[in-house]
Amino acid sequence: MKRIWQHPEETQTGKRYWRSADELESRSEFLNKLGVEFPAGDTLNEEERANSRRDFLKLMGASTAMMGLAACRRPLTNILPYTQHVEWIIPGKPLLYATAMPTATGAVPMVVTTHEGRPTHLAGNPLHPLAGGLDSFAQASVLNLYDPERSQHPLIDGKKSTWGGANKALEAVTADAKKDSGASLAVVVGHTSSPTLHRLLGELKVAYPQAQLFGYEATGNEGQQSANQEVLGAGVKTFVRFSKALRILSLDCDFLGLDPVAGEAIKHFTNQRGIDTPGGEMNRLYSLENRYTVTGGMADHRKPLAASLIASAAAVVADLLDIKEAKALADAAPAALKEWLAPAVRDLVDHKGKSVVLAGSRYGAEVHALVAAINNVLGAYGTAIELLQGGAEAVLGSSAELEAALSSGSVKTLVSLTGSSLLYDAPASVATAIKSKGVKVVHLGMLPNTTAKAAMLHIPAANYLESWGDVRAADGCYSIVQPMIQPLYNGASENEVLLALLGRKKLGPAEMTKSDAVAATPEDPSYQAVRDTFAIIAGGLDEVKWNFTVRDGFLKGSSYLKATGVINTGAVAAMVAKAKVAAPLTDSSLEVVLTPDAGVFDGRFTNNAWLQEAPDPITKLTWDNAAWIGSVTFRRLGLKIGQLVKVKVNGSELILPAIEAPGHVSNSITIPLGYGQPGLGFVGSGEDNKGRGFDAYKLRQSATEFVLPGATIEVLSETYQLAITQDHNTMEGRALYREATLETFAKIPDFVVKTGMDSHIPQNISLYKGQVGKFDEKTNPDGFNYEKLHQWGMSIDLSKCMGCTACVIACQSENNIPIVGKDQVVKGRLMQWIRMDRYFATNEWGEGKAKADDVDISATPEQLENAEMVQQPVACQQCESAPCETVCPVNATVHTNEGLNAMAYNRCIGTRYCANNCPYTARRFNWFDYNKRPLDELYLGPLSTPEKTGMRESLQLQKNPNVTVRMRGVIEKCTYCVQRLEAGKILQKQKQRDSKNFRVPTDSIKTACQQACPAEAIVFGDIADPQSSVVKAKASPRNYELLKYIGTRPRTSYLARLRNPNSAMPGAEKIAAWSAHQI
Amino acid sequence: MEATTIAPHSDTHTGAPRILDREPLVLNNRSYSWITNRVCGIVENKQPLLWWILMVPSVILTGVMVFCFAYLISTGVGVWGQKQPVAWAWDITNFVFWIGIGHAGTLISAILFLTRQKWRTSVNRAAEAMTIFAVMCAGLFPAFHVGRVWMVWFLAPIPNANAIWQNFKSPLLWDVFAVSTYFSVSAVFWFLGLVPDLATLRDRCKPGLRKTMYGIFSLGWRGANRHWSHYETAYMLLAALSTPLVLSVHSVVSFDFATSVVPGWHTTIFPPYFVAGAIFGGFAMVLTLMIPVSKIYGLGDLITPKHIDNMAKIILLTGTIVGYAYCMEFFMAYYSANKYELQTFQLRGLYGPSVWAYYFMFGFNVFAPQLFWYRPFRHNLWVVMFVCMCVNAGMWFERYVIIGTTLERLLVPGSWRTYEATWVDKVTFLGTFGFFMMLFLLFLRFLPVIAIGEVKGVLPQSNPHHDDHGKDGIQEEDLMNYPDRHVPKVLA
Repeated sequence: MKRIWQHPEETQTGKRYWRSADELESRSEFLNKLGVEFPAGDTLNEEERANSRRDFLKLMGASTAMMGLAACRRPLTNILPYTQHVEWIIPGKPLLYATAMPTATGAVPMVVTTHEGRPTHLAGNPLHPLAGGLDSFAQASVLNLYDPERSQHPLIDGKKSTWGGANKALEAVTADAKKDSGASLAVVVGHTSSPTLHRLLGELKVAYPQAQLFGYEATGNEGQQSANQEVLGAGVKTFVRFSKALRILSLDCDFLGLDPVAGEAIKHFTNQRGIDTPGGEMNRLYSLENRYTVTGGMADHRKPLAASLIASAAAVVADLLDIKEAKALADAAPAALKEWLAPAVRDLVDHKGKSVVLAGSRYGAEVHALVAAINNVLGAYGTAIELLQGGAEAVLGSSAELEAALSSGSVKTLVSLTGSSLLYDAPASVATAIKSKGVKVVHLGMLPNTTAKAAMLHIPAANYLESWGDVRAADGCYSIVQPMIQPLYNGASENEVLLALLGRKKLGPAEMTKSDAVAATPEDPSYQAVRDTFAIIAGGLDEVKWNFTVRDGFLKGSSYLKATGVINTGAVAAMVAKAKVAAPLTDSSLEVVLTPDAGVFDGRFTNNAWLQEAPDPITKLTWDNAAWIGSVTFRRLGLKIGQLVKVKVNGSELILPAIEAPGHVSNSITIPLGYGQPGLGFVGSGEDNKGRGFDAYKLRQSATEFVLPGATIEVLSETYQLAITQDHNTMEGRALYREATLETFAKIPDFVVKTGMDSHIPQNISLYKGQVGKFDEKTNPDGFNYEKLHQWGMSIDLSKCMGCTACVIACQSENNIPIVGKDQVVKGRLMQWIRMDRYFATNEWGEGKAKADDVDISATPEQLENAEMVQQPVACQQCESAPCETVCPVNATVHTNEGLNAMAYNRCIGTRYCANNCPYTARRFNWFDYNKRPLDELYLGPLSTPEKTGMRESLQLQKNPNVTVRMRGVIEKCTYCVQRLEAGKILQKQKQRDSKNFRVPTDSIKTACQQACPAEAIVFGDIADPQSSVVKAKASPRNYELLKYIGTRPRTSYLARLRNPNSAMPGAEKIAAWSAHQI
Repeated sequence: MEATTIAPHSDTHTGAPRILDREPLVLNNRSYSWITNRVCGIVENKQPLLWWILMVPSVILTGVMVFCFAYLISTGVGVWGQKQPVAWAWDITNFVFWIGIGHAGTLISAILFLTRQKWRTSVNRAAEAMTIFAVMCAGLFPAFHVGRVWMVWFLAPIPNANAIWQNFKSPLLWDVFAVSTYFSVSAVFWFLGLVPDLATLRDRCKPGLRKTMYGIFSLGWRGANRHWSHYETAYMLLAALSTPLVLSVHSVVSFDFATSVVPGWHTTIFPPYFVAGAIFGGFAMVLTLMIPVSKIYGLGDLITPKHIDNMAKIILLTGTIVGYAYCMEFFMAYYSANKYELQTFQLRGLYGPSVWAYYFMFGFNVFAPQLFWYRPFRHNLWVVMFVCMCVNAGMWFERYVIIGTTLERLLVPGSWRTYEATWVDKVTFLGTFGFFMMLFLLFLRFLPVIAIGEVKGVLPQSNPHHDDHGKDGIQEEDLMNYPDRHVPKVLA
């Protein structure tokens, strides 16, 4: 207790004493001080005095209690600063580097986002002459880097070994090769345009003159290569200029999807399709294919045609163009095909110099030779197709030659540097030869796959994001591949293995001797090799030029030179003569068509969980492959989806589930390759590690065989669970996806708002003034001042979108979206924020039929075979009047003043009401701890295996630090990459300093999906900025809002699709027939 | 009692309409002490074997329910069968189902009290108990269906570090308030009614724990006039307070759907339709419980065919209202000219993936109660029990149809999927029945199942004018003043 001194009352009479003037003059103030406990020794200041002992005890007690409380919250983690700051790195701020991803047709130029030295996200390089978005493979390739199942140690005879052991084994190989000057050595590389690799191969050939070099890709284009070689000339490369091609005929060439052609970026094709003025000019695509591809979906005219008839189709086109060599083959072609092709070819001829015929890479030299002759007659060479003279490349043997060399026994050591897995995807004869002749295999690969385990020596490969390299794009533009990160498991690149074979490098971690630790380490030989190549190509090692090349991602002016286009007609005749007339397909003699898979490609992406879970653009199948069977055959066989069938062809058989594929030609079976690889862990090989999906490689006899005629099919009784993300393939007459022909657009420019409920609903008139209205000093001073704030909006052009799912994966990479596994996909719990809705429409659709309110519009199998296909990406539409926001009881989803429908994950308790009330079903719920629990043990919850619990360490490195990793029980959804918007605004605020009225530069911020979209279908920006491209896009007469009648006022709008049918074609009037009677 | 005869006074008739005989509310002219002994006997005597046969599985099922919720909380909402478009399924179906059942109790105790329906006294106690237990079962689902249960306190408007207030626009928040208000008012109302009877039990007990507990909860009730006077005022006030709640709770629950933009949910008919449905389902559950209770404990004199007949009539009425609502939904969907709306109902009732649920709903809720038009059916306990069982099931299906089948077919066909329940869904729901039964059996064991004091109040002896009629017997005027007074048949 504070003691209060009771002073005796002063006598009023007598002598008066005072202690100080204070006491004499201002009594009360002085007396107050008298109450202080230690008036004399008081050294406390006012503030200290205010805090009495009691207050101190109170505060101590409370703090102690709070310390105890803090302990129940979460463990203390420290954020440690860099003691020595790393150059350039600011935590939370990404660094961007340019590089390129090598592919079989050239390179994908890209910019890599790295956070604290971890590459997290990839995007196209906008500076590059072939700039464009990324396809889903390139987009997802960053995940390969962090694959926890990646090969981490060298394997010797399938057993774990050390780098020392690997180097010793490699030395033994070089020693052997030196003895017989390489006669027993064979090196297999993939189809690559890396000048350094070719130079090193050349050096290898000098060191071991007898060594044999082969090129091998599991899904290669050897027919095309040999045709180009023979018909166009040695080293001549074609380069398609889509920007100049007005009429394109695709003979099963999925150039927008899995069968990329060397040429300009896809955006040059799609940009011609987004016409915003009625009566505009537009390119036209004819497509012949046995199954739907994304290219077929984009076609103006598409005809399902058996793959075995593609040669006949090429011959018919050639014959119509009076190319004599094709006469015999063309005469045997079916009449319906000729009837279909005749008006199409007339159209091509009418656009001479602007028309192109493309053939799929899987077809033989005869088709490609005919196509070269056709393009020559159409005047494509030099205009729509450039002929380029390729650079110096090593001469590589074909896959057939590889097979022959192995079978003959001349090869004793096989060094495999190809991305394909020889013992898995090459024909059985290769594996047999390797085993029976005792060939020692040295395998370089990212995955411990079949070949790795069977090899004498397996060397873990470095990802292209970890190693030095170089590559030439399709037009020859030279790019340096630069490492973003030290190789995670000390993996080696192809160049490094070649250098090791040449005795110039030891593989594995760089050794640092203690004595000269301080001394500069000698330059990495692989870096040196790339610099040497650069010096050759750039004409000297100019450091400035080198630095610019590394910074920009390419060397200016390094494209291939133009070649003279002289067609060797003799070669055409010789090749066409080899073509056989295909036997017609019957119910008992079907064809099997092997294609790369949209998820795993030829099998090399099998461990990429993003790709495994990205739905196939056509079948919407995830985590598996299946036999695609056209509706006529499917229903004739009485199949159910997922029912197992036994496909027999070439003496081999395969049991796999069937899936109904509308738009697929009858009596033809398409089987995507690349599945069924065992021993690669949960993602690649499933819970039992026996392999996901079904290995279709074993059906083929040679590596160039993709169309296998004479197949039979047998229906089995069992069914197999397929994880298909879309159950419903028709739009039920709802005007969600809107399309019309160019002709309709010219006649009815506002067709898009005359469709469905939009044409009936009156304009919404708001009863509310104030906040809802737009700010106006006089009439509405409380209104919203759009001028001062950014207002984000998006537009998606359905004329350009082809449904390739690159945006889905870009979003997953940017926003830390977890994968959920096959079992959860089956249960309908996909987490991807962008859903690619794919609908089929029977082209009987028209005025009469559309009137029916009947939901149960069932099409006949024949109609399904000729169905049209449309693709529509749907993510959160960022409604201005968002139904999700009003129903959230805890304010976890709220609107920002920039028009975003924001998600506060910390606030969300997971009532899921918002998900129910979202008209677009755009919200995703974390049903389990997908980021924490092993995907095969989700149902065990906290009892899941402790070692598997938590995110794998390597996968943590991929996460974007600017986006929360969500826990279970919360809703998530697209937020227009709000982290990018904020980063852009912060940057601008730093630049503008005190100026209050700040705006980011027009179109300077891109969302991840927009950046990824190779078709440039997605436009994002500030709708309050009249200069922005999104404002221009939304001003298009094709602009419409999804489900406008509900009144959600979405910020994302769609541009209706336009198609450009040729009225001379059969059935043209039915294509994209527009009807006002959709609902 | 002395038998009296009344000579017909046709000549002296004043012209007022003749009063028809009323069925007695308590049969066999039971005395006060009989009622006290009989009702208190249930609590005081050993429970029959059947009680144990029901109690053991109920306790086991309660344990299973606890396990299921523990599994759900520890593992994730994914253990249920919900998926992308169907974010609510059995959880909210069960919630609305139990809340609906919880409706009859307060309706019987409050609305029938205010409208002087004296027949309520035999069933109100049990119905109120049922209400409270049903609301407890109901409350489990919204509390545990959320993704992060440990954050569920965000729903409560209490100051917190996040400094974010609740969203008062959200019907889910209204739900929280409506249900918690309903529960607390119902519980207080129930407890208040129990006080005199608890005092009776207290007075009959030997000293010991029982007596102490009853003593505590009877709040010192001595049965004094002042007590009764205060009690009756308080009871009336609470009845008046809970009457609007009967209507508001289920209206608010229906707002969860009606205020959304989902076709099939966004319907103005929902509040009255839900309230009618809730009363319908609640009465069916009251009968389902009371008929066996009356048979097992020999309460047939207190719960008479008249009670059952009355409740059956209410079921028939509300069932027909519900049927009207079903048809009206279809008509409105057609008449609105909104094709999305129409398709939703076509898919729900004609050819969607879950039309079977619609058929069950329609058959059980609309056709089954039509049996009650026929009086003998209303008096045949087997028929009554059958119809009530149909209604119990039908009302569950109604909620499932509204929630499940609507969400299966939302606006964008590209995301359509069909719902499948998992074992956890099913066992959890079964478990809540165990929990409900356990609570109800414990109620039978420890509390008077019939409001002793109130039943006594409707006996003829309780009429202060019981013996007033002197030698002329009961006059018509007396009957007009005390219309529900029992007139023995012999007098007629």
